[in-house]
Amino acid sequence: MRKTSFLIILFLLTASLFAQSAFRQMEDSELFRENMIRASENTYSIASDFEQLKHLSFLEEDVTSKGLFYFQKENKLRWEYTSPFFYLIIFNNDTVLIRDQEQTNVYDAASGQMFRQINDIMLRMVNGTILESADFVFEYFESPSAYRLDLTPLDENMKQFLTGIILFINKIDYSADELLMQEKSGDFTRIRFINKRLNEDIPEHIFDLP
Amino acid sequence: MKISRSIFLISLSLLLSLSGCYMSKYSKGGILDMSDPEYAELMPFGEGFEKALYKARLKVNNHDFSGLMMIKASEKGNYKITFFNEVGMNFFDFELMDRGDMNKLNLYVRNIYDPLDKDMLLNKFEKYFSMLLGTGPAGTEQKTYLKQKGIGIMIMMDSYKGKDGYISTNLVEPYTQIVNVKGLWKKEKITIDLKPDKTTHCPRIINIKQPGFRLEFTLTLLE
Repeated sequence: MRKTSFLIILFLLTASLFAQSAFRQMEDSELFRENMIRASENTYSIASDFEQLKHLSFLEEDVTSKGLFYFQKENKLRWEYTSPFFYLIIFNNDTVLIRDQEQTNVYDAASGQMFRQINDIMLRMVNGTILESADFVFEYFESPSAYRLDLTPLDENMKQFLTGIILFINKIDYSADELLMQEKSGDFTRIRFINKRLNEDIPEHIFDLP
Repeated sequence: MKISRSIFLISLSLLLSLSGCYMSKYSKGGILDMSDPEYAELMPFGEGFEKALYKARLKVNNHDFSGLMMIKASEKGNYKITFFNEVGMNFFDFELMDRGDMNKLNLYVRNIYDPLDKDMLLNKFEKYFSMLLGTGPAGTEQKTYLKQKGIGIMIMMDSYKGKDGYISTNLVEPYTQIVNVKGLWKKEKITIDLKPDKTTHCPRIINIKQPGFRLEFTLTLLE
């Protein structure tokens, strides 16, 4: 059993290293930027499942969760964690709703620094404006199957909890396939978007705040 | 001289009245020899405990931190604890190490989110986790107290901060409550309510309260 686990881990590590090494510096990042902004302008909604993996470096453990993701232009987001716990975050313009099994809280998005910045990143990521952000240094990479953007935060507040963000972008529709948030503790959170549907009609009420 | 004697008497009566408030629910039950290793099994995190993932909510001074907490046993009674929010951002990484003090695990901060990096709060965490994960009263003779109403026995032990009381219904099932009494000030009183589960080697629900510090910490077992 141990031997099998070791071989699986070895295979995954090798595959991961190979996948990483397959990325090289993008030749025409300006063209990529234009294409991504154009694709974002033509995307008015995104509905997707997601899988989140939080790596706890200190404990040498991973925690996985799953849920549903919705984006509606201009700035409405719904993150719904369904497993192993229920947790709902709705960003509707400047207001944030957070609901779990016990209670519902509504905040002005500006009140929680960490949530405000994550909100900004998510929104900018899906509406394409992240490329215009002055809060990051950008590096552009590509492989035969995907684009990769490495973002290094410049903002001191953001640096308190994030050392970098890596975005994996789909080569066909320029939507985000994967998001990797790296923390100063050595932890990282990887969010993979699965079963993505672009420009599908999303019921307006799912972004409603009480 | 008279003034100092008066201050001493006032302090003593305050101390007795505050601790007495809680202790009045109990009557003396005699000395219990807890040298049998089975008594160690009454602790909230039993012998076979390896790791647990909790949904966690920390309310302190009107600030609300919600997320997940993983507790993992490392070696020789030491533990590692990580608390992070639902979207994955880390609040803290703690290591708790047994240095042989009276029911104390020394807390070492490996990483912490700035708003939580307060000495007073870290001292509180050290105390709560020591009460939960420390050696507890097993291994030696301890004073016991019996509940006056209902069924319950409290085992009272000296700790590095006041006295810790471990409350069980029958000394077979794990402890259902841990209290820290004999603090001079009411705000120092700590109550930890537990919903034990022998099958998981850790409690299903942990509710830590220290009302004087407007602090409440609730943990609900996920896996």
